[in-house]
Amino acid sequence: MGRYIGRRILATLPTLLIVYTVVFFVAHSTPGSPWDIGTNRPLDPQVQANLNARYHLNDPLAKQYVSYLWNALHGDFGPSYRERSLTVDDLVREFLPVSLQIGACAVAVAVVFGLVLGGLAALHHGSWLDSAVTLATTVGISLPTYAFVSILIVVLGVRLRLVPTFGWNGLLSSTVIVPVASLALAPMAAFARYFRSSMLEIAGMDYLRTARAKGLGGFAIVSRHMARNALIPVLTIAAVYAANIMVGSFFVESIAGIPGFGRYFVLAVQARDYPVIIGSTLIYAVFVVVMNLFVDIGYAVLDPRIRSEIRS
Amino acid sequence: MPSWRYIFLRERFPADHESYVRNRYPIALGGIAVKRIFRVPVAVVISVCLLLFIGSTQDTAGQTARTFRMMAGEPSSLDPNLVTDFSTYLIVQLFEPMYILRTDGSLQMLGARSVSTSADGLTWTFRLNPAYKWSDGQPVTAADYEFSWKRDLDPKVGGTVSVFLLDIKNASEFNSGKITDPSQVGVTAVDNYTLRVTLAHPAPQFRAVVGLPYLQPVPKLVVQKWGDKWTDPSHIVSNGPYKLTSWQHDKQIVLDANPYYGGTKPSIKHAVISITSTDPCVAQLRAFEANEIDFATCVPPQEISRVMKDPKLGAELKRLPMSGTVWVQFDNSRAPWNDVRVRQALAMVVDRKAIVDAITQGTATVAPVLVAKDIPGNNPVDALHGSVAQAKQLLAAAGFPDGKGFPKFTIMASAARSQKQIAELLQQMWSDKLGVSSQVSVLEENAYRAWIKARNTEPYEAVIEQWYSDYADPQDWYDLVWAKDYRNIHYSDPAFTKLVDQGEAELSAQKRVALFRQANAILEKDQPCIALYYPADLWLFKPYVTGLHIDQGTLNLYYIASAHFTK
Amino acid sequence: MILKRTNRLAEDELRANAQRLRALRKRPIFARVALRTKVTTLASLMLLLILGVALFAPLLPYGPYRQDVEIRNAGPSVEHWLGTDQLGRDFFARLAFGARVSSIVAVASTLVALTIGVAVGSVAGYLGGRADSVIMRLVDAMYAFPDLLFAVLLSALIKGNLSGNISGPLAGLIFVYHATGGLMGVLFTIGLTSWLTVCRLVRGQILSIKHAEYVDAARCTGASGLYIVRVHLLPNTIAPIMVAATLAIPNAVILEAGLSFIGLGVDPPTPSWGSMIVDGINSLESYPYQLWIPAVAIGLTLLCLNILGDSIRDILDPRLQGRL
Repeated sequence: MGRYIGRRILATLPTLLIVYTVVFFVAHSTPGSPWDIGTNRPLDPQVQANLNARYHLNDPLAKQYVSYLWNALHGDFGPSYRERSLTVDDLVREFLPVSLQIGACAVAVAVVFGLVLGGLAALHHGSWLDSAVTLATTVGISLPTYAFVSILIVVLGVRLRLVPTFGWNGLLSSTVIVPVASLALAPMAAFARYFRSSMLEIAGMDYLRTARAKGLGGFAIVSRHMARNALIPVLTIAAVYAANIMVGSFFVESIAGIPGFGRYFVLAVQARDYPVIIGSTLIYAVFVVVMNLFVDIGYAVLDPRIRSEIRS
Repeated sequence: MPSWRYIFLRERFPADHESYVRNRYPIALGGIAVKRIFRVPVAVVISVCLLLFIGSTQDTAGQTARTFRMMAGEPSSLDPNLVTDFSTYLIVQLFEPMYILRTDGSLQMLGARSVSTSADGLTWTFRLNPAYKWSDGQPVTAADYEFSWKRDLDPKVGGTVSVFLLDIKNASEFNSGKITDPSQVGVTAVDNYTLRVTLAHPAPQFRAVVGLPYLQPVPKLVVQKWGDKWTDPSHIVSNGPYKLTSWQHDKQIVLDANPYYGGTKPSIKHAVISITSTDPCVAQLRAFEANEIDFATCVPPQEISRVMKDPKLGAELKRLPMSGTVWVQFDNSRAPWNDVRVRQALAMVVDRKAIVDAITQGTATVAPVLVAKDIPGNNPVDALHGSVAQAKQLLAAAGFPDGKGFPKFTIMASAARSQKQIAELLQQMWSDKLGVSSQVSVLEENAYRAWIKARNTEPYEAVIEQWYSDYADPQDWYDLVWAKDYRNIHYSDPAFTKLVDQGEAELSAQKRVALFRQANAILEKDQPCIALYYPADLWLFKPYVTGLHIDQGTLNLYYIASAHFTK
Repeated sequence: MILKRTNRLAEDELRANAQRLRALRKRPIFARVALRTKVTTLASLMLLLILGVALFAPLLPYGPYRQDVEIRNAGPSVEHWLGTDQLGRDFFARLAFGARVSSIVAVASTLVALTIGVAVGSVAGYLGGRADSVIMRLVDAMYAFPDLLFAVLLSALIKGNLSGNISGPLAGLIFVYHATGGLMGVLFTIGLTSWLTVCRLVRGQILSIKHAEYVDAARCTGASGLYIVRVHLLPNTIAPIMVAATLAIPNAVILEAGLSFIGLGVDPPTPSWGSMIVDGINSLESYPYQLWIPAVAIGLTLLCLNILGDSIRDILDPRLQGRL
């Protein structure tokens, strides 16, 4: 088991290297230089040359590739070109916690509500409740997030004055409602659907018939046999969604004015802020890789079939 | 059976399994039947939500009228030598130059007490006001100004306003690296409160240039001590009416009154600027309507009608024409754009009023000529007039009867400032009236700026652009835009260039204006760009905020220090 | 209880619909998918309606490009069934043409994704061993990219290089790019972002069937690898490919809407539902219909697509074989 985990961790390193390579070359091939921001007048070519020299942008790409990688391995992801007094590490330290908080909260809400709705729909299969839940969840994944955020802000913030129209005042304030609600909508719908279909699949299984024949009550069957097995695919999906959400959603953060990490990426792409682009992609990739690792290890721990397969 | 079950379920024990099952988890009265295991977490989530609603009153920053609340985009840097259009609004609250040029041409003295010129126009002497101090109590000296201006020109710093100082002796040589010794540049601190500037050639516009909000001093000792980090909230000192208390990136900036300020102490002592990274007009309007900010600097185009008609918002709305022009420009160095008949034909069929109506709901002003209204030399009489029939004739004379054979071209536009809609309107007008077909290409703002800069050497066809005055001098327009080609229009007419050069060097104000007027006539006849409209900002003020001074000659910069609360 | 109920229900369903199902089983697969239950019938009718509107959009009286500044932002009326937009263009026409664009984007980008995914997946699955692990390592790496962020990067790259003048080494691509109104860029961006799931599914399926006897037999008779993959293996992977397609199409529509928000969608004035929603957000407080209408359109279409997608997946699910 330990060797399996070790091997899996080692296997993630080439993955990260590939991610780094791809994002490095795609970012540097995008036309436009980082110094074109916000000037009404053209930037003096001399000034541009000076800036390029200062940040080593005139070096051959291969050299930049290697030197950035070397620095990144030592934890230095470089300065931000867009905010010249900040480094990528500063940005991560300041903004990632906010995104993580909102993301974790959204995932929790999504899991709870998703499982409830999905379970209800599965247990009342065929009734109007099932159809209603299916409809609601499909609508939930059909509406673009940014539209939902805007509607929430206008309705709750401007018209009803229940929440501020922008800003972030911490997890225990009313500013948490809009981002968490809009972020949780799509995953909640997805979890509900997956859980429902898993439960329905399992409902036809023979071992449930055996359990019933043994005399187990309804609730025991649902919780001990059905839910545990139905949760596995849901957890896989949950891990993927969690990785996506917890690094921050650009739409929600920029419209609702949340100072989070998600919107930094798009801002960085627009500003050709290479260190931030590369640094945040790497951080995100590490996140996803770690999440996948947890899922794999979780599978191995929970599912005896996979455990024995590993041992052999 | 425990009685609590009856709260959530109505249990019955019918004989057949179907109804037993169907009744097992029915929908309870008024509530949702939840499975036992989920009841606890659901109850927790619901109670947390309730707590949030009940336990949190409006927690926006400060409901009292003492804090001035506004919203803006994240400034790129607070260093006055690195100022950009995205940071100048904040820098002018913190730093002050020697004087400001008023719209009537007179000087409002700030950091300086007096300015005098030698007879030959080459030596300028500025006497500073000793009352001005930095926010740490140190006096603002001529050495600070000298250091700041030389730092503006230093090629290693990459300052953004060096272009304005190139009239100074040895300035362009230092800036391009030909000389490396800054002491050779013609800016000297004669003593603590006297600054002497020597120009390379007589330049009457230098008076206006010094009055720009961009040439503020920087604290020499602080910058030398902290280097790049001198603008951190813990190190920065400023000489203006406010000092920076805190800067939470992409979140909030807090300003407090500068206790050592040498000018009139501001009435507003505490200002909080919330940072938005989405469309600032949309965000500001929503926050303004929710009473979260005290003033807004723009209204989204689609909301203008509603805001104007609304009794409350309409009264709070203020229209501020800007000194600038929005136009569509062509690459004058390529065919078919190098043919003046083509440009004139396209210009004649543009329905400017339709554009102004659709894009700005009539709040902007139709631009008959390219140069802004308040710039001397401008003359609306020079405007090009013509009917659609005349335009068709011109196009036919140029070799494209009814638009046949005219190459399909691309109109580039930025995703900001409604340029996309302007381009779509133009595309339709040209296609309908002249049979000329084009396509619109939209770039996000940064890519757009990069693209414009690359047009220095790369070809293009048409692009929507604009220019705003830095100061009310014809040189800022005729010279920088068309003669020096800052917008890559590639227009060259020897007569025009000669007139502009003469006008620049001319010392007599009257003769200067006359020369630029002649240049204006040539410009309008040649139509290197087609003027569309003079934009006007739409600002919203809460009724308890008055007196905010807005410099309409320069980018509609505003000064919080001039405002006060009335209630 | 639940177990019995579900079994009972299934049996009831079968008993009650036996006739219908038996008849359906003789029909082609599309009818089986579409007419399975009342809901799927409704969904497929709705989808047909939307596709019909998209197809016959050029027949509408007002085109999506005709501007009339005088009547801008008008609400629904007899002349303009759904009103006009900011520049006075007929909203219904823009919606219909937007349906065209969105359906082209959805289908074409899914085709791109399928092509790349099937190609890479089958190569990885069939070759196995070293090549397989290298390729899957690459695929895992691409999985670590967030969808939207990769799309933004790609889109900026494509747009940056392809918009502008038809000159230089990329002239041909630029021409195609402009001829399609920027669609090509969006297509490739979405396609390049979505091929990973297809690749994994195809590879998994091929891995499980490549040791069948008929494959060995084919190899014995001298069939080349390409022939085996094309003739024997790929037809048996239709099921996962269909599953991947039903997941990719709604995803493509959402991704297109997301790209439009950042300004990396199709070029104006080409209407697309995503760009209409973005414009609608800016008019939300003054002209709410400009947001509601395209939002409902997208929601409805995706709802129908998801319902049909579920239906396809249910049919193809080997565990439900024979029970429909």
